[in-house]
Amino acid sequence: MNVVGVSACPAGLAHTPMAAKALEKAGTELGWNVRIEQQGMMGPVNAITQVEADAADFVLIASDQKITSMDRFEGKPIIRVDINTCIKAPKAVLKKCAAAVKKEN
Amino acid sequence: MKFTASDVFLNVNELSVDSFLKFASQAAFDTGYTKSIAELNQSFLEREKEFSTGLEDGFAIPHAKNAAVQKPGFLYFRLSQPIDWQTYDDKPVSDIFTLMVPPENAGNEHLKMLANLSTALLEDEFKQKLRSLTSQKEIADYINQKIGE
Repeated sequence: MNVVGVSACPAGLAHTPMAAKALEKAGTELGWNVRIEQQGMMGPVNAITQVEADAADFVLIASDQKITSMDRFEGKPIIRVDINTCIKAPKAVLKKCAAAVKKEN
Repeated sequence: MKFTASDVFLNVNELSVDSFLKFASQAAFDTGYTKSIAELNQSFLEREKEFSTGLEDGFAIPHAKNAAVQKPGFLYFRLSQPIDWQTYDDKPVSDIFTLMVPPENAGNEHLKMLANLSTALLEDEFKQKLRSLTSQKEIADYINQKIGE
C-alpha cells in the first residue's frame, strides 16, 4: 500500500507531529509506504509532492482542520480521521482505511 | 531554548486537572515563561476544553499558544499521586509536560524541539527511562539529549 496524508491540529504544536510519526511508524510495521505531511505552526513539514500524491492508493487526512493544497489529491480517495484516533491506534486506522478503499473500487 | 533542572518539578501534589493547571501557570511565571498567570491558565483551560491533551501511560501535554507566553518552551511536572484526566487508555496522569508558545514568531528551532518532545512521548523507552530518573538534573540532561537529536 502506498499512502500519503496530512496531519494538522488546532495549535499545530504537538499532535500534528505525533500523528504523522505514529502513522508512518505503523506503516513501516505493516510494510507499507506511508508519508504524512505536517501542517503545523512550522508550516508544511515533509511536504507531499505531486508525484507522491499521484502514486498513492489513498489519502489520509488526520485532522478536522482546514488543509491547504488539497488540489494535489484530486481524483484520489480521501479519508478524514480524527487526529487523536490516529495517535492512539495508527495501525488500525491505516488498515480500516485500506479496507474501505478496496471496497469502493 | 535550554531545558534546565529548574524547569523540572517533582513531587507535585495537586488533585485535579484544574488545580494542576493553576500550579503549572504559577510555575511558568516563576521560571519566566509568562507575566500573566491568569491568562496562561485560561489558555491551558481553553485548549483542554477543546479536546483533552491526555495521552497514554500516565502522560499529558497541556499547551498554551497565547500572547501571555513570553518565550517558547516547556516545563515538566511529576505528580506525587496520579490524577483523573481524559486519556487514550483511560489511565490517570502522573507525568505532565506543559508546552508554551507565543502565537507568532516562536522560531522554528524551538518548535522543532517541542515537536521532538511530543514524538518522543510515542516511545515506550523514553517514557520508562524518564520515569526511572529521580533527580531534576538527570531528568533535564536526559530530556535535552532526546529533544536535541
